Amino acid sequence: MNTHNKSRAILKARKVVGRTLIFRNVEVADAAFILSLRTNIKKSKFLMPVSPELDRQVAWIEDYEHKTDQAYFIIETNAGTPLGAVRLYDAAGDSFCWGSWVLKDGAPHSAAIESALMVYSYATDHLGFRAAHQLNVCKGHENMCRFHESFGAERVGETESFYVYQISLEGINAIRSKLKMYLAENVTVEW
Amino acid sequence: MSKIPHSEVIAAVEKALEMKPGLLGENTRAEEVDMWDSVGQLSILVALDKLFDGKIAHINEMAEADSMSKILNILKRHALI
Repeated sequence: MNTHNKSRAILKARKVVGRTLIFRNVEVADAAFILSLRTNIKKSKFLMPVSPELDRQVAWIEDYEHKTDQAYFIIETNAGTPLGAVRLYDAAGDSFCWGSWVLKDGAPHSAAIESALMVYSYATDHLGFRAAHQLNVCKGHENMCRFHESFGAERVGETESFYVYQISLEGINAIRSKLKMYLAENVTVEW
Repeated sequence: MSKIPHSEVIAAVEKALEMKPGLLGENTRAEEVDMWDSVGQLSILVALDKLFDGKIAHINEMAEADSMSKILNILKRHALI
């Protein structure tokens, strides 16, 4: 029975199913994989620093399991191969944030595009959000700036360290209609 | 209705990848072009979406098109070029 009507809270689905990818809610067993992503020399340059100790990552996930204001997913192929991670957080009215988004070296180009579309489909089709805000991109991470801009996000400000983007529902729907080859239908959700 | 020539498709992809005109060939692969990463792929698809007036959105094979030859062959198969 689906007791999760559309609401503006960030709910933790057990799985979010896309075309070639699945988002699976993070578990303690994912700690080593997450740590490998976040401590990768190339990728960690643009991520918030984390302790390299596995115990600390395990403790973070154990703490996350009790949180009700965010959803942290492992991005996997349909066959269960982990490719990366992504997090939705900071619900504010009908807007949400997403980030902590990292894909491992060698992940196909399509994974970045499809996973971004899945975030937006999950957030708008299933959770009822109508915009994404505070999409912070580290200054210097030009690739990510271009990615959000290509998706239709608008740069609305900056801090000392970040450019800040946001995107409306209209922008989200516009890019989704252009990229149906990556995600033709809404994602399906297993609660 | 006249079809769009290969040269125009290549020019659109070059522009999407911020490449100088003439550098992209019909056999160029993504791995040969620095800018042809996931962001580049996204830019290409947005450009082609505009060039073909929305007709490529439902062509699933475009999601894995990581070379000019694949792009052109897909467009040919769908009678767009």
